[in-house]
Amino acid sequence: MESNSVRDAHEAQAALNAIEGARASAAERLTSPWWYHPILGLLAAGFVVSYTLGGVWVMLIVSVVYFGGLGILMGSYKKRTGMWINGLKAGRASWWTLPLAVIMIAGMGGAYYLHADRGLDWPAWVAGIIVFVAVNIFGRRFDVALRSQLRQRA
Amino acid sequence: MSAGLNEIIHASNRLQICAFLSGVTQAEFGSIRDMLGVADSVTSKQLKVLEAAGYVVLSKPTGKGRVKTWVALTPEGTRAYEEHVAALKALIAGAGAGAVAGA
Repeated sequence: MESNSVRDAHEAQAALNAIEGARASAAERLTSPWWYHPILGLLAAGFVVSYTLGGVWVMLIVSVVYFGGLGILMGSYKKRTGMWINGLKAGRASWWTLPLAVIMIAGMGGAYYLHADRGLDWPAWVAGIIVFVAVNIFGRRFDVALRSQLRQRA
Repeated sequence: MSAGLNEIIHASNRLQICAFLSGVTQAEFGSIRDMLGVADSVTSKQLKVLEAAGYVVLSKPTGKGRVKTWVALTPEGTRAYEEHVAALKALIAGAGAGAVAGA
């Protein structure tokens, strides 16, 4: 009876080791190429600036370029890594995605208000720079947190 | 098979597939095959077992170039995997407690 229990525990430990190995393999693959976050940052910053300062046609064109660009970027990432992860459903790593979304919405909202209400253009450029920097910082932190999360024990 | 362990997931390759998919939204067939270090046919067979159990969903998005198969854990698969891992841990904890009690 006891020998069965010990044998099962060894098997269980071997299974947990196999799980760890598989998750570590996923972590190794989930490495963004160096150009991923700069391009994502440029797309987001361009969206914020153009959407704030442009007219209706500019907004339409920028929307097409922004979402089309996101699609191409996502496709490149998937092709390169063979994996995809939803940034908002990545467990604790998502805590790095949420503030990024808040910064982008607040930056765009604030810049749009100052442009429409006060006639100021410069806040849009400042918001664009902030969004670009935030995407690069928070995006990389997300990557690090995600890989660390995957390498932790099951 | 001990209580709580899932016979479908317990097989080594299928357990590793579930573990690999548990941390991501979806993974491409080739990345799963590379992780397992086995042939396409073996990977395909294991995925079909998991798919038949409703634990994974396979999709083939259309587009330019060769069509690739993408795999994701279903909510049912995620739950079954998590329960299996919990059962493994309980088995180890139980053995440890048994060893102490028998000392």
